[in-house]
Amino acid sequence: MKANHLLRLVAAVAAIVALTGCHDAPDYKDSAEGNFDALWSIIDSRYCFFEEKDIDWEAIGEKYRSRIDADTRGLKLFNLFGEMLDELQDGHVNLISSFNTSYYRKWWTDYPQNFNLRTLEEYYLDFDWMTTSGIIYKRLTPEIGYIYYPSFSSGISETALDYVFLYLSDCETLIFDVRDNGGGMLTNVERLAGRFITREITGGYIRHKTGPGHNDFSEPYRFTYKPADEARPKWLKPIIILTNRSTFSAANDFIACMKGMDGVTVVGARTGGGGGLPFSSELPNGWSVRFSASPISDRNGNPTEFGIEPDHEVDAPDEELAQGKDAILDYAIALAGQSNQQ
Amino acid sequence: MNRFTLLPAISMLALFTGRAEAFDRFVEVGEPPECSADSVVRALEGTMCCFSFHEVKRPVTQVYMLEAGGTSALDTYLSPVRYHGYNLSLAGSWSKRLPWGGNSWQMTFDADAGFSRMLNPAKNALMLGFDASFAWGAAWTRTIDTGVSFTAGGSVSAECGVLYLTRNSNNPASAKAALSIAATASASYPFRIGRLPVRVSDRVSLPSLSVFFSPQYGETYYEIYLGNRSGLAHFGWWGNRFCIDNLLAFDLDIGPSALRLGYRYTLRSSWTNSLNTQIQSHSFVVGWIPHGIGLRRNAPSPEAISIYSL
Repeated sequence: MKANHLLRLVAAVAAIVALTGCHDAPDYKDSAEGNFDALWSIIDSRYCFFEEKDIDWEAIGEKYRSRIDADTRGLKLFNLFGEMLDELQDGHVNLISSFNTSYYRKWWTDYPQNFNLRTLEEYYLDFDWMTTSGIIYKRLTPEIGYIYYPSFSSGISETALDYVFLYLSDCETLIFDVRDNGGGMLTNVERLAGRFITREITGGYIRHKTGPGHNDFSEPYRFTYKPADEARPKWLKPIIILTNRSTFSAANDFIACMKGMDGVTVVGARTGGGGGLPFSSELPNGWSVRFSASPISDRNGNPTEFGIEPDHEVDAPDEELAQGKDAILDYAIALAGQSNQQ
Repeated sequence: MNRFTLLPAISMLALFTGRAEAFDRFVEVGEPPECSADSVVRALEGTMCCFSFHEVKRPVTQVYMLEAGGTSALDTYLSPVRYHGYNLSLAGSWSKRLPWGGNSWQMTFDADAGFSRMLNPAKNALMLGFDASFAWGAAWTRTIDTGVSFTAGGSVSAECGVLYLTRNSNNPASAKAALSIAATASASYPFRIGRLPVRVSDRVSLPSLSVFFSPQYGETYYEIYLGNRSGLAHFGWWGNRFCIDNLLAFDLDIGPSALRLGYRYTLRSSWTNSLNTQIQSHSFVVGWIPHGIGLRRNAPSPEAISIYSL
């Protein structure tokens, strides 16, 4: 009888182990192959733009796995991994080690820059501007206000925005320059957008992976932006937003939100995209990997990963910028003049 | 202030602290003058006059524990690699017999708060963990002739915590929250080492049904912040959430108090939305039992540590 009880106990414990033991975690070795498998699997299960970019990740995996040999370690291994990640053609994909960070640069290096900070500071701002919370602002003329916001990584305080918009409140048109803005925090997009609206608007749609399959996605979730508190100053007059190819990620999302709103005109070049909210993971050897995980689309459901077309496409050639002429800003100033005359 | 609403709170407080003298004051004071900390006590004191209290011989056993040991965490929402490090926690357990079935039931309240610090295998990334849990349970007890005591029962618990991986960008943390119903069991045996009375006990808690929080596979907390909160709560059973807490303790009845030395193993695992979480710890336990465990020859009699209860 006692033996029977013991057997039952053993069976119960085995059942418990069986119930829980089937969820084994991946166990990657800290070797060239182990790290490769970890990296390939992380991207395979979590990256979100395989279909949009028509990427055959299986074939890419085979191609790069075959290049691993006994000497593949350290920088050589890092460069191999970086090359494989470049196949994703995504500025949100990085491999980060203590000695280097891989970075797909072609999304902007293959395009004209259309911006020169020195030219802006010297010839348009006369080395004289005001700045707060990472925002550079000035009245270019009594009628034209100008804001240059170089990064959404700089936290914007509501108080700082109060001062900026109060200072510019007498102007008739605002030029909002986000050229070379590589993105940052989406909460800054929300805060900034709140100054340009009087009612809640659709900011866009976001999806996330629901499983490791390439097409395992949630339904698009509509997110909204609310206007800033009524007591705070807002800008409800015409806005001209300046963009270039290096307008990326959160800055790209800002354009997606603003473009098409009443009184908003986007001038410059197509933005760089970066419409996938990045996730992080890591390899057994300690290298960190970042990649697009949650696709964001604009309020009409269009993907933003491949950039956003301006309303007025204008180029600012490098040779002109070197001579102190910013054709995109000049175009915006002329447009503002026309708008003010009307 | 509705004085009756405060009754459960003060009852629990007195129950778990065993402060009989606090109850003695119930009969001394009348109507509270205002709503303040003092008036709350007075209100309670007044309220208690409405009920019948009896002196009972069901002392509260209190145990306070400091636990330290090794811990490991795998949370594939954050990383596919397992982190290892140490954990520290403070725990308390308060138990007393219930007047059901001839004092054959006992209830226990457990609380703990812990911290852990872990590194990845390459030792270049830091994960921090914080957790807290509270459980209330009732168990049927039986002591057989050999002196061995058994308990079997259940508990309800609430737990929360977070794993924070400092290097990650939009998925830096994995929040943990659960409400559970657990099966509990224990066995204890008193014996002596020389002249030292000792009680060895093993207590296991096995959360069986629960409601727990988990983000979707690739869902960022930013999306949750934006308002997409569907599918975050999950029904848990052993197939998708398995946890166990086992405490092996040796209580040494020395002096007016008892010293607890023990070992605790905890496992918290879940598998949902293709996310795998396994957090386990092995801890050395040092505890203090203020009134001892009653095994000494000159131990205070139960009458001497009686309390008042409903």
